[in-house]
Amino acid sequence: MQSPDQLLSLKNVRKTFPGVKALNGVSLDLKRGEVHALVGENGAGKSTLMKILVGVHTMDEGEIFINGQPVQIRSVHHARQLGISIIYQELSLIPQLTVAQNIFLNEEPQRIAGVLDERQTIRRTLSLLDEYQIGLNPNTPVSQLRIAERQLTEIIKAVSLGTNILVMDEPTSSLTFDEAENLFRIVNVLRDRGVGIIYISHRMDEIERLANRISILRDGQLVGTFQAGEISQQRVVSLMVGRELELADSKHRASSVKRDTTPALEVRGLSRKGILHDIALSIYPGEILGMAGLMGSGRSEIARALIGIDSIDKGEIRIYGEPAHIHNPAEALKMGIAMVPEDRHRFGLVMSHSVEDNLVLPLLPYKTRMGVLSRLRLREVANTSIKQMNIVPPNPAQLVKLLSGGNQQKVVLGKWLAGSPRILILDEPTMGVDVGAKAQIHDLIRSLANDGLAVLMISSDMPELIAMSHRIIVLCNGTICGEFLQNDVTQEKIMAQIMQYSRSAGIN
Amino acid sequence: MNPEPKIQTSTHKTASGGTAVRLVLVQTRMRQWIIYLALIALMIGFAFASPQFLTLSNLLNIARQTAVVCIVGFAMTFVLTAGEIDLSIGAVTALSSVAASYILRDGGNWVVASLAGLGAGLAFGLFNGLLTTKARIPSFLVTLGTMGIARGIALTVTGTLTIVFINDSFTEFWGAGDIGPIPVLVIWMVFVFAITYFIFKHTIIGRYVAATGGNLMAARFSGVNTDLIKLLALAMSGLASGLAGLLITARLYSGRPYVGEGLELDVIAAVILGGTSLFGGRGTIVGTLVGAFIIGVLNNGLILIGIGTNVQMIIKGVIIIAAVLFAEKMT
Repeated sequence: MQSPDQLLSLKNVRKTFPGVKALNGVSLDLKRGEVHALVGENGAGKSTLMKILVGVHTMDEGEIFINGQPVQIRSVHHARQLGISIIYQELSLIPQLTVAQNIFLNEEPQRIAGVLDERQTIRRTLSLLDEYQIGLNPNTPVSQLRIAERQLTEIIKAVSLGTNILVMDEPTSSLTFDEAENLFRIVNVLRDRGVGIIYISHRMDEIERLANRISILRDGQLVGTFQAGEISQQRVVSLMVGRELELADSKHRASSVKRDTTPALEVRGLSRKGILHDIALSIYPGEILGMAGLMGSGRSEIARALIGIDSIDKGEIRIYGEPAHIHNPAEALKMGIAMVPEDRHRFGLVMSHSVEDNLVLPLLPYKTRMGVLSRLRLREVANTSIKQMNIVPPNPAQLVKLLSGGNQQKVVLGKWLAGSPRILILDEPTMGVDVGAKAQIHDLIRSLANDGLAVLMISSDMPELIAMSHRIIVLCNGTICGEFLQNDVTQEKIMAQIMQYSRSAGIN
Repeated sequence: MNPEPKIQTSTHKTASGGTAVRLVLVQTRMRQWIIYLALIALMIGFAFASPQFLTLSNLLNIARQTAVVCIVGFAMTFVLTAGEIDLSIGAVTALSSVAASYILRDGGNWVVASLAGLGAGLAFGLFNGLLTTKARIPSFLVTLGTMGIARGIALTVTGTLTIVFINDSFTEFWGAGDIGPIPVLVIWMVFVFAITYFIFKHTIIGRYVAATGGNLMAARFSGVNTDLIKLLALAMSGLASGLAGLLITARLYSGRPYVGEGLELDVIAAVILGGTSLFGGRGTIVGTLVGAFIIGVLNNGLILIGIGTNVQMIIKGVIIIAAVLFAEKMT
């Protein structure tokens, strides 16, 4: 049953990270001269699968065959030797070296052992660039290249290594229309030469143009592999997000919101050059406003601008009708806005400090007399938060780095709730959190909203967003491109809105 | 095709997490205990090796010699805990010494002279802080540069010569003499210890310093003005270096452009030895005191048992590396 043009086959790949089943028995194959599109939502397992293929992660279970031979991919270097290369979203060239030096990094032509042959390096680079009709100067340092040009350099580098399995991860995400066209041309040339390409993208029109087959991943499982001509875009999107939406717990949704009063937060014309364009939104007391969008669409950037971490070029912010000028998070908290940032390791917690030290940090200015700390009052604040958030174990002296992910996230939440904010911004509040803690966090947010807190919730977890929000706005490339009410929203509608926007943006 | 539950529950993890916590808490405390024990062990060892070691006059001598490292070390504890470093302290000490001595030699008021020394220190500290926070140059490079600048100014204006002066008020106030049996230098050390210990442990500044060094972005998101905290820490070490310059000047009855050479290394060694993290986020003033005394006792004891300064350098180097290696194992 092994067809001769079968290049690669992954069978039953399983991978578990602490607390998360990332891949649950995924099988995928790739033929010579094929573009195989791999689609799925953020967190569906695409990246994990590709990282296993290129030797960054090792799988827990499963088999990999290359040209019918079973292989154990031990490292990135080993994957390269097997002819597998990946073009990353964030590129992996050395900026100080030239195009030619990067292409032949670690494979430098040498005159005698150890002595570099610069002329040969440049000659061979030129012939590769000519072959693919790429107009680049081999002597230009990579730091002076645009993103698209760096990407082409990476592709040429992969080709020069004899790659026949090429993984492209969101290759057009930062390209202009013309640059993307050029990339498609090169993808087609590579395909004609028999290279197999795994192409990851959110953009349906690209996939329709390029792909021979489409595989859809959801929640770490393969939903199916389809011939490109046999499936509609609409169907791909609904398979990506899953048909049965888990709205079971939406009946516990916070009670309805009165929108005839002054909004708790009103934003008009918020702009930050190149990132946010003319954002307008309002949140009413007791309302949970969800914010959907792809990574990099500007969701976190709105949150950061609201609490003054990033400066804004233009825009007006009103809090309960009062104009607010916020320059830093301390001022935001004073005005009653608290933000639970994404990625607790980077932005949320001081991992080497205790639960108490983390919990009380934003509150210190309010819990001191002339700057002198009162241990007793701080301990009291910490114990109250630990009880409210149900942090396990309930020990304020515990170092946060030793807590489970869910409990760490409760510390991050507790740290901001202890200041009794009027407006709460949540950026990915349940990412990497186990089911139990997730439910507790959801209950807490709902009960706070019932008590009148206005909540802005950013999440890539769409069932969560739909179950929690009274209203959802959709962000595309730094602008609001859609808005849905709770009784009128589905994952398909949100995804379709995003796809439609990126399609029209691509053509313009 | 029901999606599998994405995430497993983690109840069993918290249980084993609990024991790990206790272990780490014990370990951090043990680390602190071990440096106390190391100091005591060293003292017992030297007491057996040399009959002079445990005499009151020798112990006070050690305290006097260690005072300067302690005082600058207390300030350096803030700097390192905030995730920065100050290499200019030795050179700034010399500049302070030279500035104060010039005014005293020319018959100036001793209070003015003292303020000049402290002011020179504070000015350099603020300069270091502003370049680090506003120009975003790493403090390692900023203070490497100001180390050269301060030392260069001190050497140039003095023409490398010693400035001699006579001013009893100055020398008595800043630590030449004794009050009863206690050297004034030691009183200064205790005074600075009390202030810095209080600020570090019991005020908002200490907490903010640790948060800034522990996770800069998390501190900023929590409303901490991290630039101000770094500026404050570097200003403190500048001011402490200015003070150290006055103390040394008083003790030598003269200003010398060469004083404080290599002081930065002794100070950083003492602070790290005491248990403060070189990478920020964790610090201890008491630890710095003990770390400085370990180095002080070593210096003194090795001389008493007849080991020359050349070999002393080797032994000190080995001990510092061993201590840091040990600290990495423990935390």
